[in-house]
Amino acid sequence: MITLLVIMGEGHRKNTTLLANIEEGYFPALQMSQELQEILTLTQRGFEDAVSFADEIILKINDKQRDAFLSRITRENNNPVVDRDVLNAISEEFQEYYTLTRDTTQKMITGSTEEQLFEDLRRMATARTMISERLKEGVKIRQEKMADVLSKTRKEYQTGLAIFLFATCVALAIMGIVSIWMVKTLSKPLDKLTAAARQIAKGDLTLNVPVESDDELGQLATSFNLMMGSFRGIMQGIRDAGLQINISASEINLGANQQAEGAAEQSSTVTEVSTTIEELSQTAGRIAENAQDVAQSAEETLKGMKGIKTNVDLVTKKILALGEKSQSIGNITKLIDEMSDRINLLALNAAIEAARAGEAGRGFAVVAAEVGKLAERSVESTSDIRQLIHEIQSEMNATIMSVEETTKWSDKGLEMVSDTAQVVKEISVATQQQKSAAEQVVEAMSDIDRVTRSFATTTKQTALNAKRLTELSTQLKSDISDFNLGATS
Amino acid sequence: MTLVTFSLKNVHYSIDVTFVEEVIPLPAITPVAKLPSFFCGVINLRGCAVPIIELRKWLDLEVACHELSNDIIVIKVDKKIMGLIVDKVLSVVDIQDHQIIPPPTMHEDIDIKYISGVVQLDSRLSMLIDLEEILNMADRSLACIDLKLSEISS
Repeated sequence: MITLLVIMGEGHRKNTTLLANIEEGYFPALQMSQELQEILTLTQRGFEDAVSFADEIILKINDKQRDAFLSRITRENNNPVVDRDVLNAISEEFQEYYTLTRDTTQKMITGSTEEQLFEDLRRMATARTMISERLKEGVKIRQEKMADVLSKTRKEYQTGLAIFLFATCVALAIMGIVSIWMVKTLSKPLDKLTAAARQIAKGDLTLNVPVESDDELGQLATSFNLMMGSFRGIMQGIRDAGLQINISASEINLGANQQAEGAAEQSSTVTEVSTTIEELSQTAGRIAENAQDVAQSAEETLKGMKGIKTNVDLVTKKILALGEKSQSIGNITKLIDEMSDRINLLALNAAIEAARAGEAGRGFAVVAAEVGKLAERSVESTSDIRQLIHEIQSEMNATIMSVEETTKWSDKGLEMVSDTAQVVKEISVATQQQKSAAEQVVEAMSDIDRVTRSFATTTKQTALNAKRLTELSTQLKSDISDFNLGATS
Repeated sequence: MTLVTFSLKNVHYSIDVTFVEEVIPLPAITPVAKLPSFFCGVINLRGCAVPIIELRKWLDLEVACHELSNDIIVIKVDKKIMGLIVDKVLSVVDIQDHQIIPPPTMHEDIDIKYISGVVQLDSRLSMLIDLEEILNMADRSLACIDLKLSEISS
């Protein structure tokens, strides 16, 4: 195999070298020959154009073609397949040709017709043909060389391909043999493991796989046995936990049921308390209403009492006015008394006059006496009137005193009613507060009731869940009993 | 005869109506200096100055304050006019002469020379005053101070 690969490598290296020669040597050389041919043609055409137009500037431009020709040759100096001497020879020949042709062309432009000119033209053509031939020969040599190299390369390639195909076939054959051997070696212990896994799937966890070797398969069997040990432990743990869960769930169920019963009882008690407090609140509300009624009545009484007081004041004023009037009457009686005095005096004077007149005044004396009597009677009458006025005034004073007493009592009554109204208002406020407090208690009790109900619901749910848990643990127990855990169970 | 009766300190007195000019209510009295104590002063009676005698002084009675209800009896004796202050003029009565009884003599020490007699009038006794005696006494008192009633009157 290695020998074959070395041979293949050698062939490949040879091919690479040959192709590099074509790429770096023959092909650029061929290209150069063709390019030089083209430049040569262009140079010739430039001279012809200079002659045709009789222009020396075109000659000068044509010098650039010469430079291009020479620089192209210089570029191929490093080409490994080109002979340096040949390149130099072509360079010299071209320079010779160019100098000759330029001179000749110069002469033709200046219109010289000497004999030498035709000779020069002929030499010129010969030189150009020689260069052209040399270039064509170079092209031919290069093409032949390239064809030779290509045929060599093909040959090398075919040889390499044949070797490669052979080596591949041999390798495939070896790999097939090795594979069959390896499969035969590995399948036996794997079959045993598969059988053990099947047994486990059926629920037998007591199985142990025998360890026959010390390789990867042996390690696999050991690990398998270890895994089975852990698995057995886990399954036993699960079974024990299941039993424990079953017991606990039963206990939870019992407890939750008891809690639910307790919550229901509490809820009914709370409802009773709520009802009682609501009744209390209603009673307080009624008391508040009654107290408000009483307060209103007290207000009205107060108003009435105030009215009475006003009226009493009015009566007192009127009585006092009457007293003043009676006083005026007294004054009038005094006036009458004075007048009576005067009249009496006049009567006396008349009587005196009548007495002095003697017998003639006798009739007049009687009249005077009558007038005097009248005056006396009027004095008596005014005395009676004074007496009456005195009685009236004393009665009035007694009345005013009793009225004042009444006013005093009514003031006291007013005060008491006002106090009552105040107290009743306080009662009303207090009962209102009591009512609102009772309402708050009712609200709080309702909250408690709600919480208790929700608690009852939750505990019922818990009981249900515990029951479900019991069922699940029973299920788990029956599921686990499918597994054969050996003597440890 | 006819009498004018009046009261002084609840005692009734009377005078003969022939001396009486008229009775008037108590007016304003103007005091006059240097006169004896029983002269109160003078009053203006229709343009004439009339001297006023305090009768209670003469009768040795206690002098009380004068009251507006007091009266003045204007008298004229021997063409002399003067006024007497009395508590109250009571009446003008006609009596028979036999109704006049002599003044009492029980208490000799009491000066009763101004009382000429006692008259029974309506269950009360009224003492009859001797006006001439009173005027004489007044004249004598005035003579001590070189004055005469007529001078005062003028």
